[in-house]
Amino acid sequence: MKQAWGRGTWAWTVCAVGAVVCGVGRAGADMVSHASSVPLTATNWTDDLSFPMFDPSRGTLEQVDLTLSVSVEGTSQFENLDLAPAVVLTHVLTETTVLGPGGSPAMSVPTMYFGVDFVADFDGAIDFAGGSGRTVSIAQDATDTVSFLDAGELGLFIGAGTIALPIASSAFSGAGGAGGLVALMSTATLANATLNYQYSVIPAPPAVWLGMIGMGFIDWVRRRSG
Amino acid sequence: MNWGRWRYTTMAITLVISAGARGESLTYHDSIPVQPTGWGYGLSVPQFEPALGTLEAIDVRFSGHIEGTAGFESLDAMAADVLLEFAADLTLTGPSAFEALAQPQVSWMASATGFDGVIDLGGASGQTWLDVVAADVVSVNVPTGFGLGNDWVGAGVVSFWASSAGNSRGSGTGNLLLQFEQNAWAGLAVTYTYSVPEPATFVAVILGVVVLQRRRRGDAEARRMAR
Repeated sequence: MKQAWGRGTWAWTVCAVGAVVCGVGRAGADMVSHASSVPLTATNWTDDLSFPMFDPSRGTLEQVDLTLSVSVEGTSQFENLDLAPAVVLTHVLTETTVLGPGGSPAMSVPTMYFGVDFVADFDGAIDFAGGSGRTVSIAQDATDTVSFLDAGELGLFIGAGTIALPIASSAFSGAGGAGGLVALMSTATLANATLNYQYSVIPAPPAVWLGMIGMGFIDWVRRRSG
Repeated sequence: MNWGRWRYTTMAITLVISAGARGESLTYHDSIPVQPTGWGYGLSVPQFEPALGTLEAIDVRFSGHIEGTAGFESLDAMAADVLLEFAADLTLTGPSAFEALAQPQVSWMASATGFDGVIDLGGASGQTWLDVVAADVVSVNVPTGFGLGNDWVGAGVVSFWASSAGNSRGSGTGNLLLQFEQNAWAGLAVTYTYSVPEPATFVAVILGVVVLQRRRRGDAEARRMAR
């Protein structure tokens, strides 16, 4: 029995453990990211977010995370035409929606702006300024992330080309509060999207066995020479 | 008391009640002329003159009117629906915490195409409504019992304060032009309903009853003498 744990046996054991450790290390998770965006555009637009599909030679796709950041830029302008001061209420609501690879809504990123402004009675000029008017800049950001885990959905991300996810951005705005009122609402949105492919790396069996065979050969040569 | 006497007595009481007072009413008006919304003015009507009779009821009718134009232009690239509401709040306050609120309003839901390139509140992407008129009339009965109507009785005037506040609004697309022009006016009508006592009628009825009763007694006496 003592001979069974001789120098050669120890060399084999160390060799095998090392090879397994190396093999397992290569079988861990990894991630690759892609970005796509839609430039600042007046709301009520539709477009596509295009991403490279997942290359199956990288490993096994475990999860896809889609992060969407929406920025809203706009202005709210109004002029009170009444004889008396007024409280003018304005609002801008936006919703940016992305469809998943199967065509169903995958995520929706809303933003909300509400303005309450107290303005004086009409100053005689419709200039969205002065005592009776305002020009208010609107800037808002919102971010959300959705994960795809279903095997059927993941399969739609796998391939050699690109995948296009439809995206649409709509807005609902309004103003009120005075009897005589002129209001001009302007809204635009931009979208930045990041798609993360999370996958597990498949271990390379040939490399493991080649290492073990090589170590065994070295051990055999040493024993022959010793 | 026999049946005949009861019958005469009942008839007499009924006649007294129905003929002892006459209902009358008197209405006074005041108004604020049409002008851009946002005004506040005083209104007044004469108090009820107690010499006229007994005040039975006070009815206040407050009418709020708005008129003007409403329009929009959708500046979006795609078609959209736009909601517009042309409205105002007209408030009347008076003695003894009297308050009435008239809320004339008219609204529209319109469909617009994508922006047609011209901001004219018309065409395919816009619309204008001209000569818009809306009214709301509110009636309030002022309590008169237990001295509650005292502020309305006398030789002076009843003073009110009327004000208007516009409340037009519009919403729809994210890129939208709204335009409202609005004028408002208000009318006030105060009706005093009162009862007028009529002594002449009252006396005539009483005399009639007395004569009837005496004639009936006389007939009964004659029948008894004849037997």
